Amino acid sequence: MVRSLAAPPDEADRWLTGLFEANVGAAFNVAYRITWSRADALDVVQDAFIKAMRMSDQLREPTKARSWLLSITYREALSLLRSRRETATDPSDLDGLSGRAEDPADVVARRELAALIDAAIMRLAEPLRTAFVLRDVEELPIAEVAEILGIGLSASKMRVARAREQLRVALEGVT
Amino acid sequence: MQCSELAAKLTDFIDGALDPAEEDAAVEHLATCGECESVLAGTRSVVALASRHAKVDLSSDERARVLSRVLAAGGQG
Repeated sequence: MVRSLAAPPDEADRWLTGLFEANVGAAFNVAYRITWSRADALDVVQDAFIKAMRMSDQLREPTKARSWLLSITYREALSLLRSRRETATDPSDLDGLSGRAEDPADVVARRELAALIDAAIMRLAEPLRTAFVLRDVEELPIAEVAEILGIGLSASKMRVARAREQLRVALEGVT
Repeated sequence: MQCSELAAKLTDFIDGALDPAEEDAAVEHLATCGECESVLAGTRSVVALASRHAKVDLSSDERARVLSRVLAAGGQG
C-alpha cells in the first residue's frame, strides 16, 4: 500500500503502524550502533518514522519500504551524531558517543560473549560498522545494504568484508 | 586460485555469491591451504556470532512509547 498524507487518518495510522512493527527493531539497531546511546537511538527512531510518514509520498515502491525507512534512520543517526560532535565541549562526551573508551581487553575479563562482540563492533569505524550491522546483524541482502547507505554494490561489499576481517582479528581466540 | 584472490572473494564466498567456477576454485584452494581455511572459519564465526548476539532490542514499553509519539505527530500532520 502506498500511503499519502491525503489518506484518511485511520488508513494512514494503519500504514504507519505496519511500517513501525515490521522495521522498528532494525531501525533501532542501526541507530544504536551509530549513537551508542539507547536514549539517542530512541529519539532517532522516533524522528525517522515521523519523517517517513511526512515523506511517504516519495516511497514509489512499497516493496522497498524497509530500505527506504532504514536509509532515513541512517541519515538521522549520522545527523544527530554530527550535531553532538559540533556542540560537545567536554572531550569525554565524545568518548561516550563513539564508545571507543572501552578497550576490548578490559571486557575479556568479564567473559561475556555479547559484551566482547559489542566492544569489537564499537571499535569499527562508522561506515564499516553500519554496513556490518545491516548485513550480518540484520541479515539484509547486500543490494539492500548498498541502497540504504547510498553507495554502490562493490563499495558495500568492501565495507562488509573489511568489517568482518577486523572483527575476525579482534575476536581471535573467542570465535 | 591464490590466497590473495580468495581473500578478495571471501565475502562473496561466504554469502554464496560466487559463480560456480569461482566457487569450485575457492573450494579447491581451501582444501589445500590451512591458513585460508582458518581465516574462513574465523570469519564465518564472526558472522554467526553477530546474528546471534549483536542485536539490541527495544523493550515493549519503549516500542509502545515511540509508536504513540509517532502516531501523535502524524495526527498533527
